[in-house]
Parts: sequence; C-alpha cells; structure tokens
Amino acid sequence: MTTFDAPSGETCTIRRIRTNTPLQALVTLNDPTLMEAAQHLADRSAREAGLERRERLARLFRLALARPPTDAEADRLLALRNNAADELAGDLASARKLARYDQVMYTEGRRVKLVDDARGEAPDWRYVSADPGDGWTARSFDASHWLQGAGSFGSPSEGSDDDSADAYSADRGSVWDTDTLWMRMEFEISEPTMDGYRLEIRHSGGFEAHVNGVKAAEDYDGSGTHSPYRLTAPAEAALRPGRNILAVRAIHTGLTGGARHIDVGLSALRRPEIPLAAEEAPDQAAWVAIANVVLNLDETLTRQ
Amino acid sequence: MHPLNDLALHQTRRHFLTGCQLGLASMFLGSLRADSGATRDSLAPKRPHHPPRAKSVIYLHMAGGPSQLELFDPKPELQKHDGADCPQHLLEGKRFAFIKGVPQLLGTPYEFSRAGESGTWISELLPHFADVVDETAIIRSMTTQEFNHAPAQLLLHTGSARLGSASMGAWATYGLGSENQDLPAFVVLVSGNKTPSAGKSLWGSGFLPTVYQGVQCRTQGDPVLFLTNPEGMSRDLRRKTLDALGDLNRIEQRRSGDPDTLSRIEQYELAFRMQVSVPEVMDISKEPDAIHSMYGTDPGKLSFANNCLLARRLVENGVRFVQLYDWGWDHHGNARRTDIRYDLPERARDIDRPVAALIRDLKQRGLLDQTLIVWGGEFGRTPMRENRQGDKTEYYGRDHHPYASTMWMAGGGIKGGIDYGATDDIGYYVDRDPVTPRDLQATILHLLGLDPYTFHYPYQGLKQRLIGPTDEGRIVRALLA
Repeated sequence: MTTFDAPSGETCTIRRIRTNTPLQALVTLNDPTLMEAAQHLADRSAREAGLERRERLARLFRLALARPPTDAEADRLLALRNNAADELAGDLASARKLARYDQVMYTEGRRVKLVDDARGEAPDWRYVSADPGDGWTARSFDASHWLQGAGSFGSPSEGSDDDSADAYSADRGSVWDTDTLWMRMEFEISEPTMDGYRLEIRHSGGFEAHVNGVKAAEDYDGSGTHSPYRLTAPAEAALRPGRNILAVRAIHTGLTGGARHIDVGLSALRRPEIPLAAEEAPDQAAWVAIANVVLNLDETLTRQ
Repeated sequence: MHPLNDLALHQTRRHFLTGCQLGLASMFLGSLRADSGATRDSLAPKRPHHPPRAKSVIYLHMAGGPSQLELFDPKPELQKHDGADCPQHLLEGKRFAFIKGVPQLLGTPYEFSRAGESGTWISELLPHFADVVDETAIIRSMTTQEFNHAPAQLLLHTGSARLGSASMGAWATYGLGSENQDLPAFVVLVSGNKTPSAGKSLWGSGFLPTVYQGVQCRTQGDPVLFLTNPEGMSRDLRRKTLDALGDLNRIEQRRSGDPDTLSRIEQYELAFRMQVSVPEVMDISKEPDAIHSMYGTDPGKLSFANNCLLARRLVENGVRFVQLYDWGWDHHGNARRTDIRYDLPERARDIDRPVAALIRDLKQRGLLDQTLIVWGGEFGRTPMRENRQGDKTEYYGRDHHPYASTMWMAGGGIKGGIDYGATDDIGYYVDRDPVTPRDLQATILHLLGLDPYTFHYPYQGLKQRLIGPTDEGRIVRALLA
C-alpha cells in the first residue's frame, strides 16, 4: 500500500492525501492480480453477452464501471481490439500467454526438479574439502577423483558427538566438518522450454553457487529453511540443453557456532501448454488488453 | 498551451472560473512557461525567475531531531555545569514534550575538535564529515516554533504546521519542471524502518496539482514494483493500450473538467517511460567498487548510504528534487535505543561516511556546483537531560528543543567553509543570526532561481506561498557564494 501512499498506521491521519503517481499506474497496469482480473473480465463478458463485439464491450464496460460506454468510448476500444488482434496475430506465443494469463501466472504442477535435495531423493554429489584450485566450477573440469556422497552435508559442533547440535542431522547424507566444502553435480536439461530457474538452499553459513562456471547466486547470512535463490541473468544465459554443471562452495562462517550444514536443490518451470487455436488466441488476447485498459480508466464519480 | 488553461474551455460556471484562476496563475508566472510551446507536459523544464545557482536539491532530513549538542555545537559552559539544575528563568512559560519539573543540565560525552581550513568545531561522531567541512556552510542558529515532530516537520517541508500545504519538492517541480521527462521530478527515499511522523504529507502536493507530489521509491529490493509488462504484452502493445487509455481519459476529462485526470494521463505516460529509464538509473549495483566503498553501500539492503548513492544517480540524471528521510534521531534517553551514548553513535556512523561521500562524489563529477545539499532535522534537543522516568533510568537523552538546532548546506550557490549564527553559552537560545524554517525555504527557492515572495499558487482565495502569507522569511545572503 506504500505505492498508494496509504498512511502507515503508526500515527493518526486526519486526512489522507490525494495521490497520483506513476508508480500507481505501473501497479494497476502490470500487477499479476489485476492482469488476471482483466483476463476473467474478458472471459466473463463473452460468456454473458456473447461474441458480438459491441454487445460484449458494453457488458465488459458495465461490469467494471456500472455504466454503458458512450459511442465514442466504444468506438475507441473496438479500434484497440482490431489493432491489438492484428499485432498479436504475428506473435501467437504472446497472444496465448496474454489470453490465458492465469496459466502463465500459476506454477502448480509445472515445477520440475533438476537437482533434488535431501527432502527428496538426495542424489550423490562429488565433493572435496581441500581447495581444488581455479576452474573447478567449469563444465569441463574433471571431478571424478573427488569424494562421492549424498546430500545434505553437515556436522554438529566441533568436539561434540551430540548429533542434536546439528538441527539438520535427520537428513544428513555426508559429513562436512571443514571450513569450506566444494561440491559439484551434473544435471540434464531435456526440455528446451523451461524458465523460472531457482536454487533452493538450506545452509548454516555462506555459499556461492555457479552454473557452468558462471556465478548463479550467493548468500552469507545462513538460512534455516530451503530458501529460494533466483539465478543471475548471466547464469541463466549459460544454461544449455543436455549436460550442465551446478558447482557450489559452502563456507563455514561460524554463525551457528561449530555446526555446519548445507543442502542444495535446483528446479525450473516447464512452460505452460496453452491449447488455444491460432485463430482464437489473438482475439482473446486483444479482449484482455481491452479489459486491462478499462480497469485503468480514470472515472470521475460526479457523473450526471 | 499550458494544460491547465484547457480548463477555461469548459462550460460550467464553476469550471470556467477555476480555469480562469489557473489561467491567470500561469499569466502571473509567465516566466515559468515551458521552454517548448509544443509540450503539454506539466513537468517540462520551465525558465526560473532569475539565473539559478542550483539546478537540483538533495535534502537529507534526519527525522526525530538530531542532537546539535552531540554533533555540531560544543558548549564548554554546559560541560562545566553538567548535572546542575536548569536555571528557573529558562523554564518559565515553557512547554516541553516530556520534561517536567526542574531538569538538570547535561554536558556531552563526546569530544569536539577543529576541522577543515575554517577550523569549525565538529564532534568525534562525524569524522568523515569533518574532512569535507570546508564545502559546507554550518548554521548553528536554526529555530522553529513547533516542538512536536509532525507539526515541526510539516512547517519545515510545507511551510505550514498543519496538513494540506505543498511540500518544498512539489513547489520546486511546479516552478521548474524537470530536466528528465523519463523519471519522476521529485523522488522520496526513506531509511530507518519508519516513515517520518508527519507521514506522506511531507512530500504531498497539497493544493498544487497531484502531478507534483513526491514519488516514494522502495529502498529495499526493487525500487519500483511491476515495471515489467505482463507476459505476452509487448512494448508495442502496451503503447497501443496506453493510447486508447489516454483517449478515453481525455473523453472523460472533457466531460468532468477534473484537472487531476490530466495529471493521471501524464503519470501513465511517465510510467511507460520509466519502464525503460528506471532499471538503468536506479540500479546502484552497477557502480564500481571504489564508489561502493566510498559510500559504504550494500546494494539490495535498506540503508541511508544506498539512498545517498541513488540520490546522486538521480540528480545526475536530471531529477529536480530528491528528498531523503532517515528515521531514528529522537534521542530522548528513555531506553537504550534512544540513549545518546549507545544509539546516537550508530545513527551518526550510518550517515557520516555516505554524506561525506555524496559531497565528494558530486564534486568529482562537477555536479556539486549545481546541486544543493541540505542536512538537518525538524528541531534540536534540549541542553537539559530529559530524564522522563526520574531516578529509575540509567539512560541519557534530551527532549525536543525548538529554540536552537544546527543544519548545514553545501553545493549549488552555498559559500563553503563558513559558520553562520551562534547559540548562547549553554546552547539554549540562538544568540546571533537566527534562521527560521521560512528563511531556509526562502533561501532554497532563491538558490533554485525562484523568487520566494512572488512565487505562488492561487488557492482558497489566497496567493499560497511556500514561505507563508507574511514576508518575515528572508533569504540568508551570508550563506550565498
């Protein structure tokens, strides 16, 4: 609500200021919630008023503004429909995304594991606790002489045999009791249409993650749960179909006393399949664009 | 044509009269007319009244009221009488926010030493500032009439202790427009976890059109949310939807005559341009390491330092007025976190390096001459210990003190290396050359090339001015280079 200059609630406000900033325009134009509302407004207008354009538009307009459009307003919006549909006919992928915006937004069932972590199958990593020197993050690096073992990695406090000192001992696959741990994992990208790459890392101190030799994420503040880290843009660009390498350096920062812990996973989103026919998608997307405009109209309340 | 003149075309008597009034305003402010007759944008650059000494302002407000006695204004007499009862004549007829009964005088726990070629006194809490002190004019004689945060902040920033007036940044952008049509003209950045007590009215446009209000950017994470178009919406298609939206809003505006609809159309257009400009300008992580270590910045974290660096990038890109608020300077001494011994050093450390870096960085880029930096709070702090809880507290702090505080200015049109004004032996009253909020406002407008006495906006039958209805505010010429 900061964007809409709402008072913070710590003090009384006698009068809320009238506010009007470009930041608000960006929210009401682009916020996924309002885009989804636009999509459903477009769908509902077709369901209730049919596909005859002027009637559908009148319905859409009335649902949003509680009044019918004037002729001038209707003409202008129908002109937008034609313009938008023409443009979208040349870019069917965009048309489908806009027409079925909710399927783009909701990721349920679309997230796939590329590297599973200790909550799942905990596959074997290659790891070493002595500095492997330069180039260890590269795809071409040979780590076959490294140790092999399953995640998660960790140890309780030094000098303590008490496993309860490591809060994550339950899913520990391999021991890490040095200051630094170098880890490598191969993974496959079999589908070309993935996005939304995300590391999920639970760690006691610090880590630096690399994909195919490119820095992908880092954090030195520790995290008690599997926290998501988006890949940096260069790292995402370094991904390729087929074999890839995730390389992680785990650092013991002493934040948790002697206990060390790291567990690493990587996932991505399969792009949604939107079964909209080429002849339907541009028209439907154009109506979403119209609804997006109507939801942003400046409507003065003092109408006669 | 000035967009506000459009109103005069309207049919109803009320709108006709409103339009006339605004039309006359633009005639009065004839010299403020946009350079390019073709543009309809209210934020287009406008010619000032006289040649400006500063093109933009970075105003650093320390919300809460930083203690001048710990930072800028050493008082040997106060040290000498530390712990003594405050003389009765200083208490008679006075109201304090918290002090009751007879408080004790409180000396500072900090050492002061002479700094710069000017040899001015600066506290050990501001070592970096001491190195750049010759760039600044220190005003040790600020006074105000308000002793509570919100009214004092409002008086300082809007010229009225009550809500509803336009803030200094709104006035500046109303008078001068902006050098960059792709960014907001007036940007607000807040650090210290809390917005200042007077809230968002501090950067509101009051009676001015809402297009002039300050735009508060987020100071943690993305500075602006939802900059990216939804998936499937190309920039071309966004342009087409905005054209339709603009046309429909103009139809609505012709019907209603509401000038805010025109502001709104402009704000949508600015939003469209910001989708390109903001990722470029507002990403401080692109700065070289040397700059980060100079400011002490840590991209992505909430900090005053990040805001200082962002402020430099914004003025560099033509933003007219950048207002920073840093909350946490209200050192009453009623808890450890408001103790002048425990918390104040941390607050001072958080701003000291970035402020000095800002001055140096602007200077090395040749921007200091045209950028006015103002630093200060809404009032000062008492020479007496507040001691709200009596003997029960071990903490040390001071109450709100409207009678004296310190501010400093640097850059655009300011004479560096000078001291202005002085307080009495114990720092209770201003002894010499008092400066009021109205004087400060008059001086800032003057430096921006605006005449504080004629610069006005007609509202509620009055010629509203930043400096208020009387002519008591004066330009402090001794500060000018």
